[in-house]
Amino acid sequence: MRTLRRPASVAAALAAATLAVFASVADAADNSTPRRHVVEIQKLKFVPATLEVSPGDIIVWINRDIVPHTITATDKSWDSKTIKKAGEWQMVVQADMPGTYLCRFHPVMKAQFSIVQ
Amino acid sequence: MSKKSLIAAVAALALMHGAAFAKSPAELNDLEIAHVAYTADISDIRYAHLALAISKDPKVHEFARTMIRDHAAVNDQALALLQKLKVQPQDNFFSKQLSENADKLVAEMSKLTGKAFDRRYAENELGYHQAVNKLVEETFIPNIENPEVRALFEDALAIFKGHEMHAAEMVKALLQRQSLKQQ
Repeated sequence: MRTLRRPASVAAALAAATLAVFASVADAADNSTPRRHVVEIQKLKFVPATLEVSPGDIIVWINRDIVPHTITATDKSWDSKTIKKAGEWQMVVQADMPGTYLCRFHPVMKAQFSIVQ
Repeated sequence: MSKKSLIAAVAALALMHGAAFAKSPAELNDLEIAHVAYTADISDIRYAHLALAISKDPKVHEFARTMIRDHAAVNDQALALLQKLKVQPQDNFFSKQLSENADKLVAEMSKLTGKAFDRRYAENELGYHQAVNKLVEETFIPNIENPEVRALFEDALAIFKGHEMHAAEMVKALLQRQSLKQQ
């Protein structure tokens, strides 16, 4: 009976190990797959006004207002230029980029994303 | 706010509440309200062009360019909606009064230069947006019958409230700069 049990335990151990390997591969894939975040511009507000992102993620801004806007880093290091009504703009998050931004046309519109490594 | 601006703002508010007229803005129909909004937009665009021609202050220029861009966009949207509804805006007593006031203000501001112009322009923008926003929120939106026209006014009001905050910041910045130079 022992001889029969051994291969079964080995198989179980192997299966467990295989599962663990697959699980860790899957985890790694979850962490490395870029996520897509959407920020809507509505009634002179960025919604949501705060966001948590990782390097490599994509942020898409959609202008739902009837007037043009910009999405511009507070320190002006990145800028969407003019986004017209119903227009969109997207950006890939870099690890070292500043996350506070505003609309150059409407400085009362402010928002930010924080980068989680 | 200077004494002159305060008098102008009080006069504008009295006018907007119909105190000086037999007719009241609350009696206007949707097409007349659309005409008033169009006239108010055009007036603000006129002040902005004047600011770009006279002022040398970058903050004033930035604000004026936003006024031209936004009020033109709102007017385009309003005209497109009226076209879709196959109607025309209707001229009325209130639009006429707004245009006359705008003519007088443009004539007055054209004579100013430098800081005097910047201050007059900025304070008027603040007072003008405060008065118009109050009128749109409390009188026009509750009285507009067509839901699409009302939705457009609600969208526009949110934008004009942003202009009001932007104007308040511009007034504050100009006053701070002035008081720093006097110290």
